[in-house]
Amino acid sequence: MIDQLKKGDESAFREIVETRQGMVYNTILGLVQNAEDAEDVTQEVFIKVFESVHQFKGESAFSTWLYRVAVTTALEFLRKKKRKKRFAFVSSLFGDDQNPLHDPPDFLHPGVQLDNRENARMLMGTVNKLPENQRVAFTLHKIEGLSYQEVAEVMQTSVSAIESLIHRARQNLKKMLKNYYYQDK
Amino acid sequence: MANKNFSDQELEAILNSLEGIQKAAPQPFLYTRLMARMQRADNNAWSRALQFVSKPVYALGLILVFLLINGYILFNQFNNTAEPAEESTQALAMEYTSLTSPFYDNNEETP
Repeated sequence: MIDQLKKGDESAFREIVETRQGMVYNTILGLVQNAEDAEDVTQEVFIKVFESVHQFKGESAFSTWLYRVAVTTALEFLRKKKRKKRFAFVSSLFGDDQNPLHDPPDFLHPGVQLDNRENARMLMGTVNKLPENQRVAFTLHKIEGLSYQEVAEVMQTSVSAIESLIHRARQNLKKMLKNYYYQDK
Repeated sequence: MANKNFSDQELEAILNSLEGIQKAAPQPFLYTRLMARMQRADNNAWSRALQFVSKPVYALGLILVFLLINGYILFNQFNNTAEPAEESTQALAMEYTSLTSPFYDNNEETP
């Protein structure tokens, strides 16, 4: 399949998109926390896969490589969004607020169980504030359901480093949640 | 806005709220939309080139190269114009001299 894709075979590409879109979209949605953006970034990931599949040397599983492309693209998207937000803020200081960018309300992942919705909403809002590598490890483990070993392969580090990252992520989340501000209804 | 402090039990409940989460799926016909986007991108190679150039690293690099070329041209022009300016002054002086000297200066007086 991958060899066919490397030759530019469209049917191989279609099959890869059809079979892997769920894992790519779910990972990206966990990171970007917006359904429209996640769809956009998912498309971007598959375009990258089509254009750079020759860079895949088979040293890891194809799914690991695909997760890496997805995580990198999602993080690039978030950095770009942050830059745009800063630029919009600077523009607004000079009175040019034609295209203001607002923070979206707390995101709720569609797969969260009904009785956990409020807690999950608070948790996702706080996960957003974690350092990048902690956020990636936490998302891949908790939302995409990857094992520590799989997360370590995606992030190209050791299992113990991932254990430590997720432990620190939990500690940071606890600290941030202890002073959680909520809107009175 | 109010400040709420959670108990340890509540914190654990929040941290475990993603347990049993179902995977999200994109809207149907992703492949069709993806192919349409790829075709649009193919049709617009110029916009891709512009996207590449608009990346801050490349844009700043390009500006730097532009400034260096400008500086080089200015520097060269300054060096080149220094000498011809002198030459042209001399030429002008010669011309002026030849014009100001009356034609009868050249005529020798005959006894």
